[in-house]
Formats: sequence, C-alpha cells, structure tokens
Amino acid sequence: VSRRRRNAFLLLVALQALVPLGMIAVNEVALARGTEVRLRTVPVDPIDLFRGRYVTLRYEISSLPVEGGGERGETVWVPLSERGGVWTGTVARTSRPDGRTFIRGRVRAVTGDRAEIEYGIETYYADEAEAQRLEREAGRRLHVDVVLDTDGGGRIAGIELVR
Amino acid sequence: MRYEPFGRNLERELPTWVEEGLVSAEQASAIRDRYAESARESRRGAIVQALALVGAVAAGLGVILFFAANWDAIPRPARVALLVGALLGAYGGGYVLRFARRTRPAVGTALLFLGGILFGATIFLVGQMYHVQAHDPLAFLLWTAGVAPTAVALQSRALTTLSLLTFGGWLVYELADRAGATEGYVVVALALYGVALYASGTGALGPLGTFAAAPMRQLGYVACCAGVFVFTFRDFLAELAVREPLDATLEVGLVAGTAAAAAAIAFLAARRPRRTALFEAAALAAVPLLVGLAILVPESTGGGLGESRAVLYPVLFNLLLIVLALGAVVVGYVNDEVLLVNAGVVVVAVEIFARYVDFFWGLLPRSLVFIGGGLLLLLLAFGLERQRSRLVGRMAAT
Repeated sequence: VSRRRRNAFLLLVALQALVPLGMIAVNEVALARGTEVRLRTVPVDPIDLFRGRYVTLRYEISSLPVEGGGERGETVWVPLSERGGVWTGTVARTSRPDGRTFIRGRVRAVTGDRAEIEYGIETYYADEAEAQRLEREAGRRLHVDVVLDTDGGGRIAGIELVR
Repeated sequence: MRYEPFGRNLERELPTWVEEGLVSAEQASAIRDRYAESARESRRGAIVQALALVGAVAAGLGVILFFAANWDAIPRPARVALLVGALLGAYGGGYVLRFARRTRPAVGTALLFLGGILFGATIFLVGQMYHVQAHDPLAFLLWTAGVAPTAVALQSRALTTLSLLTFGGWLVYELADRAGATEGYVVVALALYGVALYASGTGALGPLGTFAAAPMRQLGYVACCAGVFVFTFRDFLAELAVREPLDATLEVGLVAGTAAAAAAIAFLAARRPRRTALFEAAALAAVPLLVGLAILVPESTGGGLGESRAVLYPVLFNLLLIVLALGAVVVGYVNDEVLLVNAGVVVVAVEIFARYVDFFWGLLPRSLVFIGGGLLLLLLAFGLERQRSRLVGRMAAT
C-alpha cells in the first residue's frame, strides 16, 4: 500500500471513530442546554427486535388538528402549556411560534381534520429487564421527560411510570 | 480499449506466440500450467476468504446483539470506549494482517470488513443510547459515507460490497419510511439502482478496478432482476396503478434515479469496454423504460386487488426477465464470466417456478401443485445443471 493510501485510510478510520463521539457530544450538549418538559404517554406494543428491545410511545399530542390544514411530510410546531406538572398541546401550527415553549414534529398522515404527528421521540430503547417491566405495566400511563432544543426538536431524557 | 479477462487473453495468445517462435511449445505449456495452478490456488483462497467474511458478519451481529441486550448494565463511558475500541481494533488488525505484514490476507480482509460493520453498529447503538428515532434512514447514508471512501482507499472488494449494500439500504428504508401507498416504489428504486450499478460497473471495466466493478455488477444484476421479477406479478402492477399522488421529494427521487440509470447506460454504450456492451446496454435500457411506462401509463386492471386481469405489462415484464436471464448466460459465456452464467441460470429457474405456481395455484389441489412443483424443480435443476456444466466446460476449454 502506498503512503498516500495508508494516510487516507488512517484519516478515514479516525473520522469514523469521531462520528459516534460527535453524535454523543451533540446529544449531550442538547440535553444539557435544552428546556425540559414532561409529557404524558402510553406504551404501545413493546417489541423485541433485532436492534434490541424498544417500546413505541404514543403521546397525547400525537394526534392534533393543524391550523390551516397540514400535509403529509410537513413540519409543524405544537405550542405547549403546563398543567399539573405535565405539558400538553391542543393544536399544531405550520409556522414556528414565538416566545413560547413548543415542540417540533412532522405530519405522518392526515385523517379528517386531525393529523398524526411524529416528534422523533416515539421510541424508547431499553435493556431486557426494563423492557419486560414496561411490558408488564403495558396499558398504564407513563411520563416521559423530553428536552427541547431552540427549534423545538425533542430528545428523551427519561421515562417514569405513573403511580 | 476492450477489457478481456487475463486467462482468456493468454489462452488466445499462446498458440500465436509458439507459431511466431517467441516461446517453445514446452514453455507455452509451462505458462499454461502456472496460471492453471494459480487459478486453483485462487479458488482455495476464495473459500478461506468466504469463511473469514462469514465469521466477520457473525461477530459483527454478535456485537450488536450483545450491546442491545446489555445496554443499561454497561456504564455510558464504557459503552463508548468498547464500541470505538472495537472499531479501531478491527480496522487496525485488518490493516496489519492484510497490508502491513501481509501474513493473513484473508483474515485481514475479514477484519477490515468487520470494521465497516462495526462503524454502522456504533451509529445505530449511539442512536439507541439517546433514543434517536427521527429519520432513521439517514443512519444508512452516514454508514455509506464512512465505508465507501475507506473501500476506495484500500481498494477493498468486501468494503465496496458493504457500502453498496448500505446505500441500497438507505434507498429502501427512505422509501419505506414514507407513509402511504408508496411502498411499491421500493421495488422501482431497487430495479433502477440495479441498472445503474450494473451499467456503470460494466462501463468502467478496466480503469475502475475489479475491487469496485465486480461487486457493482454482481449486486446490480441481482437488484435489477429482483425488481423486474416483482413487476411480473399482476397484483403488484395493480397496486402501483391505484397509488396515491406522490409527494414532491419522492417524485424528485424517482426522476433522479431514472436519470442516474440512464446516464450509466449511456456511459456503457459510449465506452463499450467489451463485445457484448451494446447488447447489455440495450437490455438494461428496457428496464427503466418499461418500469416508467407501467407507472405513467398503467394498464386498466379490470378489477380490484387480487382480481387484476392485466395482460400486457405482465407479459412484457416476463419477457424482459427472460431476456435478462438468458442474456446473462450468453454474456457470461462470451466474456468468460462463470458467475454471470450461474446467476442467469438461477433467474431462469426462479422465473419458471414462479410462473408454474402462478398458473396452477388456482387450478389444482394444493398437494398436486406441490408435487408438480417439486418434480418441476428437480427437472429444472437437472436440465440447467447439465447446460451450465457444458457451458462452463466449454468456457474452460476455449
């Protein structure tokens, strides 16, 4: 192997090692700097898949009317308000709201006047023991702590069963 | 310049060299034996290589499953250290064995391949760590972006194969991720991707190097035939005909895919690196043409799903698949490519069996369908194996 190709290989391997480290850094910074809200959710169909166990989560705000009508694939923002320590929203907008706490999502489907919205926080990965515990408790309500970035993008920070 | 395999060229040139007195008959025979021995060694090496690669895949899957099952039991910094350490270890070990010391090239290649798999595994596992789910398909694209340049830098066939697979994975996942009646377009993308890969891989034979051209052509042929095969089913065509309007991104993607396939075919036809290039380009051009027609001008199906009476497109796609299958046998024979001959034979067998089941499933009792199908497969295997052996024998003799 020529020196040029060897150097290119070393550089590429270093970059590949930096990718997961970069992903971790981006997520850690977002979790540390964002606004934390607590959303009410229910676990749907815990599944054992190749990539490990995960629980699919469905939120109160997963199905909402969209102001002005939304289209599949469109980005929407949902203004959130707090009630009894839990945050919720009643309507989605196609423009970014100012000066409020909001979460960003994408319209998956439109049925009548309501849209199915995905926020990127619908999957909670767990190890086997945790997944089995959640499976046993299926049907009970959960609270999910979500950290929001400045554009409303959400990341799951934690999950808690409601007693 | 036309590209010809070395062995074929040598066999053709040796008698002329003897006639011209450049080498004696004994020397010609010694040269022939030398390369026959090297061909035998190469076959043995291929088996060792295949074993090592299967081992790498198994180890890669094991790593993913281990982390998936024991995620929370391992502290976060330890997970990161383990993942990155495994990645660097696999790449480093592979490089030393394959290139630096050259003591175990097969194992070295497999370790480099494992490094490529582990890179993808780290992306997905870090995603799990933070419950990242938004637009998962991009993970496949990131995987490709990491592995493809490494494949080029090392001229590695295994890593090229991996990056072609991950790129195909991105295409499929991206389309499947879009809700609604668009899942049929995964098949369209598969066929177009296959055409683009085979045509560009064949068009660039010679300068591109076998490390890239071979996997491009092999995966391209499989993807192209798989896509066309699905189009031979009436119900699939009917499903595509009753589709919802496509979203803009998907439309742009399909146009881009068709343009890429057309550009690759034009490249192959313009460069003509071998005798059969024009025939290959023509057969490949029929794929996007017919797929495009089936989407833009759907045949009236005369019934709902499962009751389709469409005739024209199923017949045309069956003919196209037969051309692709028999064409592969002919092209493989002319160009001394046993793998292409075998692939064509397999496609012929799959096509005949599928049409048999299609035709008799509703007409005969199930037990008779299976008995007949089993006998048909045995007959097919016998006939095709005999033909294939004759062809391969002739290829070895000429």
